[in-house]
Amino acid sequence: MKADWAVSIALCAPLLLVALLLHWLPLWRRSSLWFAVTVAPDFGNTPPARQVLRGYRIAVWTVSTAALIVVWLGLRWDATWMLLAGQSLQVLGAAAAFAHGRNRIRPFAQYPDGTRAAPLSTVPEGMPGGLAAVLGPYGLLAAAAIFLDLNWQRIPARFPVHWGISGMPDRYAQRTWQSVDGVLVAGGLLLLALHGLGYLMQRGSPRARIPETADWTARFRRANLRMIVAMGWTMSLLFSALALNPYFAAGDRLAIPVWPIVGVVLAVTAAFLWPIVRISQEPGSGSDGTPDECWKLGQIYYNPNDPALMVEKRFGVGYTINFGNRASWLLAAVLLLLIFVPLLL
Amino acid sequence: MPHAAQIRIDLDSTTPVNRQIVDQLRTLLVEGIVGPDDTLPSVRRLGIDLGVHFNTVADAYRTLAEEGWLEISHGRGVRVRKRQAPRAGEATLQLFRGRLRHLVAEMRAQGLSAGAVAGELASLMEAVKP
Repeated sequence: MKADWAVSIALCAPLLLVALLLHWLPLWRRSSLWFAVTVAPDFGNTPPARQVLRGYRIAVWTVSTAALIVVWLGLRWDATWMLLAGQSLQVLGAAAAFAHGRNRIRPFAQYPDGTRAAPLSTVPEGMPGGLAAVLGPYGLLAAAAIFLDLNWQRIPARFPVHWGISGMPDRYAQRTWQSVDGVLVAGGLLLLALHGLGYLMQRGSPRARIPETADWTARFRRANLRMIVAMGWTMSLLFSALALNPYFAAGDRLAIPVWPIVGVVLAVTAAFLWPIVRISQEPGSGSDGTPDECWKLGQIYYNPNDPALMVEKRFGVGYTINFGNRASWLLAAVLLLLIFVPLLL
Repeated sequence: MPHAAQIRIDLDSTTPVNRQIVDQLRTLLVEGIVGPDDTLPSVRRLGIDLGVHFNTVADAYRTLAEEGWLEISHGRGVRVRKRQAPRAGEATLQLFRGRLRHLVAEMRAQGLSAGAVAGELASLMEAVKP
């Protein structure tokens, strides 16, 4: 492995980005939650709350620095396992710091109100943008497949399918159905997994358990669904561009360089994540109507008495599955299958 | 049905959850907030929203179906029926007279004046459509 500057930046920049995310993540929460514990709405401004946050952040930057050193040494010594070890160290270290912070907050926990509410509306929630916004990305993949089929003879007989971090191809394929259209099939399966997740969120998570926060919850759900629709289009464009690369590329280079692609993906993610973060920081969002004791390490929701398949995360934005529900396990397995099958293609 | 119509339960209450669902839905039905041909959320949807077992919701819906308020059919969800109020006899009147008597006594014991109690009852009757 060649440890030049470009490679070092490509591997270390994500660690810094994740460190920044982990730094802010505990603040993206409902107003009555602090480190996944139900507390008074203004608890976040008290000295014990700030102290726990400070301790967590020190731990996050310590493990992130250690992770950077491990990755850097991995590059110097040409040890791939150290790259994975560095990334794991950062994620697991932050999770441990969060769990520790949660334990320190637990003495300040407030017993949540037992009031629950449910809207009687049966109007389907629907995906933002309607059916067209969901089916459009599949159409894009199909259009790319048709284009490639019509121009089959113009596709080189042998073309690169994988590039190293230095930008040079390290794997080639012959012009076959699998190598040309496989990327599009993989994209389609990943899209199915993504939209399946959106469907589960809509159908399997509570619409508004706490009566006073119904409006907030509705807006939060909508913003999350918008993110899913946007990521669907981004993935579709990405996979279509990859599939069309052998036709448009000159020689071994990618038709579109990697950095603009990464930039677009990051820009779309940031653009649709930002409204979710803004909503999560609004006052008056209360709690989420799930019991504190069912949150293992503050991140894993295990509640066999809750029929919900998915619930809002208490660490980070978005939704997580209810590990106490067997149906959730089954659905998660199907989604994982949809994600990993493309890797085998 | 108004878009904002909702039911509330209290998990800390001594009243069983299925009973709370029945009472609230019946009130909405009698007051006309939920009317004939309206559809209600499925057992699964309401269970997930409230965080209670599906059987609890199914039990509540079944009770209201037996009272003639709801029509439950597989695949078509839960629909509100046009219900003919049964003819109440002397025994029914006696039953509710007894319950009201206890309730009024409890209200008076809590310090509410006779006028306030009468006012509350009158306003509740106003809310109920004929």
